[in-house]
Amino acid sequence: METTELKPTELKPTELKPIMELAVAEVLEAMCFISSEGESPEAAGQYPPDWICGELDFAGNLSGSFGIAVPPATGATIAANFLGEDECDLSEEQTMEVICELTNMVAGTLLANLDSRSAFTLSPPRPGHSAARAAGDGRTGCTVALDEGLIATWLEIRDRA
Amino acid sequence: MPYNVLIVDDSPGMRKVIRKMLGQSGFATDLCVEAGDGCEALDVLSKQPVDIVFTDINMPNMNGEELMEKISVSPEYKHLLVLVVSTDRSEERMQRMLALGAKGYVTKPFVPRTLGYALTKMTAGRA
Amino acid sequence: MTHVRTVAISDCIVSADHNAVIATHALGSCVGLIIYDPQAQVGGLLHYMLPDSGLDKERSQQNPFMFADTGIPLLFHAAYRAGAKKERIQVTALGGAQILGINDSFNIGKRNLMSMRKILWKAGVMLHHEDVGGTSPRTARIEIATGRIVVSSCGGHQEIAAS
Repeated sequence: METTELKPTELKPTELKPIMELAVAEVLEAMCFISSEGESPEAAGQYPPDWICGELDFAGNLSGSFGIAVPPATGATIAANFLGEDECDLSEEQTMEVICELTNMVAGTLLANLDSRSAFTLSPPRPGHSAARAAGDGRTGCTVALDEGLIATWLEIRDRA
Repeated sequence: MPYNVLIVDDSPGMRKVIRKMLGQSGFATDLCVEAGDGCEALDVLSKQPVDIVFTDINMPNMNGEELMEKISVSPEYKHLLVLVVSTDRSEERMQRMLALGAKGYVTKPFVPRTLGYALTKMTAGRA
Repeated sequence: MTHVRTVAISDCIVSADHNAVIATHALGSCVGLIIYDPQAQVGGLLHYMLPDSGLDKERSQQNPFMFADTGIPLLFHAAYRAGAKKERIQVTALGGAQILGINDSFNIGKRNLMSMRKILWKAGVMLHHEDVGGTSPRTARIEIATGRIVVSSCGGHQEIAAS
């Protein structure tokens, strides 16, 4: 994907969201065999408490945080498809770990789409907090509809290096 | 000839996926071991006869670039073939890793065939 | 003497006959999955229409070859019975297009491909070759004696040789 002419920190949420959606689609289709159906009309607000969340920090030419959240059923399907296993054979721990790796891959794909030239470092992905807000001041949220449920993503670009 | 492989990634799920892809690609492997970061990888390398290393970049304790730096200055690891498997697809990082001696670079996400092609290309010409 | 056996939509043929050529036509959003064991010289072709039998269990019982999740396992099992071995099988996927002029808001071709990839991944089977997507229908044939596959689309064709 071409790097936009605007600097990533200057992009508005309406410009960031399609890029976030594209990153989700690329990763889920290639590694989890799940089709994305575009941005969901569901509002990106606070996640229900049982959603599975992953988040990480990134640094480089861009710095900030990124996270994803999925309903439990979607998380189980993502994990099973990724590992090539049956859902009933996976533990909650394995599902959580896959969602963390998914956070890592979507973040990496997103950052590469925002700036393809500069290297960045990602913190190890960690389980997130369902009480976190998906969108708010300085944070762009994008919820993507899947043929297997929903995935919410959020991006916060704090500063430039 | 079968190869001895080390998979270095802080995600157990991704290590499992790479192992599974290796298996289904038909690429001949003898030993297949894993490590969760660069430190563990060096420990494995000091104890096991490894030919090929798959390494992620962003890992705790010692990342993939630091691991490559260690490998590149150690004569005992001169024979190693290193394939980077990472979310980082920046030109800057790719060039740094290749300059350090990585023989291939696969970006996440990837489909199974991509890993097989990269391995075949990397090992072409080796007995 | 070579003879051609044609796989219709929602159908499957497996053969160990060295004189056989298995062919299928009109691969639009449908997917043609071809498997071949070069040592046993056994090959098969499945032409399926839809990704998931869960939406129509009754129809999948009447015709399991209509769906990826019921047809693909049957293709492989038939090949094993004819002497093929999983570790030797080469897999080629064709089709899964989004044909212009046809109302396909669900993008069935893409879903068919996604379903196939998931099934193969879970079964530990590598997809060796593919000629998929796009907007044009395809025709394909495989020669059982050699494993040579010829795919035709839009006036052109390409060959895929068994390795």
